[in-house]
Amino acid sequence: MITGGLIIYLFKGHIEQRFEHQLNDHMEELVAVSEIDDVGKLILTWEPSDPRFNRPHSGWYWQIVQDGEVTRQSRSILSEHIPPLGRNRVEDGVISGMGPDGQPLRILVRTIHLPRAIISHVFIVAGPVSDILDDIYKFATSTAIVLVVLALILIGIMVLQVGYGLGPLRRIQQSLSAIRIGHEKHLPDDFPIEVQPLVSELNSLMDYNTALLQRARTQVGNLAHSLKNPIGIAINTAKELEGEQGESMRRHLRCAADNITRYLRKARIAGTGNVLGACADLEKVGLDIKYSLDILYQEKNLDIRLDGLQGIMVRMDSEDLEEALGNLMDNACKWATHQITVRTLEKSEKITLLVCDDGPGIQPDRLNHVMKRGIRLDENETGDGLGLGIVEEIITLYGGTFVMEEAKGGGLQVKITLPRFIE
Amino acid sequence: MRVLVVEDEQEMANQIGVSFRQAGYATDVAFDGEEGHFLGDTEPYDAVVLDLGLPKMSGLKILEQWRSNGQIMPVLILSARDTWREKVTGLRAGADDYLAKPFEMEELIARIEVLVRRQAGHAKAILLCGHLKLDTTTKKLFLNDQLINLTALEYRLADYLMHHPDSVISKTELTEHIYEMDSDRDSNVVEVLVKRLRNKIGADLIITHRGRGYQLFADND
Repeated sequence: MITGGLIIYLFKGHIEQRFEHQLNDHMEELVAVSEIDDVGKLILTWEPSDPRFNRPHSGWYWQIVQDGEVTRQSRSILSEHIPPLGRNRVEDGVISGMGPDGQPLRILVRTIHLPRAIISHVFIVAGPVSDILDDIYKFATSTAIVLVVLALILIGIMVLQVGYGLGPLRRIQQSLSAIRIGHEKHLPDDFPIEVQPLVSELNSLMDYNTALLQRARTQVGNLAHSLKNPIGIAINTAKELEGEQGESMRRHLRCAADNITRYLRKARIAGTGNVLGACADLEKVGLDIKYSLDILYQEKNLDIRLDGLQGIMVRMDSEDLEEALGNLMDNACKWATHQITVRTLEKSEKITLLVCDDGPGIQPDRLNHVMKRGIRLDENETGDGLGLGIVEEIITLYGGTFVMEEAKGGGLQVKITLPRFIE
Repeated sequence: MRVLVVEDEQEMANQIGVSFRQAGYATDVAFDGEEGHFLGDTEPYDAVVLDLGLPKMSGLKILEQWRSNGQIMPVLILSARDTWREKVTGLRAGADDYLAKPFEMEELIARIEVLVRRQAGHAKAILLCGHLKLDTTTKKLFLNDQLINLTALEYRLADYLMHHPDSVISKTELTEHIYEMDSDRDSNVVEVLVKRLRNKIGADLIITHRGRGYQLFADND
């Protein structure tokens, strides 16, 4: 718009100048053809050639005035006059005025003293302002069209440029979701130079995250190793001690061992589904655990059933999911007589997972008691309860719920919700 | 029955060794991965207790190599690392049981017993053969419900024969499953041992097949 306005303004100046040149040319022609005859009267050797001076009220006029009287004028004026008239001396130059039919005019006035003339003549040449306006209008129209086309082309180029320029960002986004699903470990390093530093930073951040968790887990593992061996040896040695003293020592050592096991397990929980790449395959984990339990409980000859786990991805660290599901199913196997079932119910944003056994279950009053206390099964029952406490802790950290209820056949049913991974 | 214990913590390995011997097993102990791997590959063990974090060669690698070499003896992994990921990995590599440290010695022995029995094809803890009865949990042998007092070596012999009733077992096989690595393995020792057992349970229950070995006779008559 501004460009358009500026161009038109410049063009207007140019047009007006040209218009004045045109008036000037006509003026010179008029002066050239004017002569004073022997009686001192002004004559024209020929009429100015431009046909517009002959067309009535064309807007193009000339007029020669002597001493306030019009001596000659173009036919286009017909019998009227155009200013300036009168005896008052008029300055040479261009003025604005009105034509015979009220048309605005540009008027060039020049006072010339012709040879042999007694009094000087005032030569007047006028042209219509509408010509200037017409030209400007035409020019403005085409300028507008050109500018609009130009603007469209520029916008198009800009869109393309932005699209192309933001391409790498889109690729980053795609790579990030690939990492999220677990298809990739890193962002690729073939991005344009402008984006590559960002990508490298992201990569090293992810590496750092993974390394941090891994290191913490390794340390916990090492700590476990270095604590559990001596305690194991101490427990066995204490067995040789007779009486109250030995009993007390064994009890305390066992308590210490349980606490170490419990807190080290807690320390291992990653506990967040917001970490990139936190995505676990529920069926794969279920099958791994089932494979293990089939071996570990071979004597009991249990039927472990997995139902509806196919293709469900969970937004959890896979080790956390293994711990949760492993302990749940292990507990079920401990109590079951013939069968344990693992199945999913709801599959929206949260997956509801049921683990049931056909064992003795928990008495309803005790179940209420346990639930009301917020499950402290592991605090007082060594061994057997240890698993469910950690399960609840993991599930809660992932924003899920943990409910124990009576299964249909009378056994225990644990109902948990897991955050679903949606691509 | 002969058991291999691979455990780098020497004191613990020795404790396990002592307990196993008390429970009637011939027990060899290896303190590092390479030795453990070699022993398991060359000696016919009835069960193995295997730690995972071992110097020179990891327990997992040992297990994988044994299994790919066709060694089928039952293996119990005894590890301080008790995550499910480690359990799954160990069991998928071919372990038959997984026990986390710290553990109760009785639990370990009971579990090994189950593995040994299962390997020999027995589902129950009490083995019967004619009028002989072996309670594998209490480690006691009965003849017509009368308790027979046995020395440690005699028990190992009776235990092995009871696990494989009716089969003819060579002297070498008996030696390998009754004696530990560093004991004197003269074949005469087995003969003496068989003779002593015969004196206690009756000569006709153990048949000698000349040049082939011994057979525990299971006929009820």
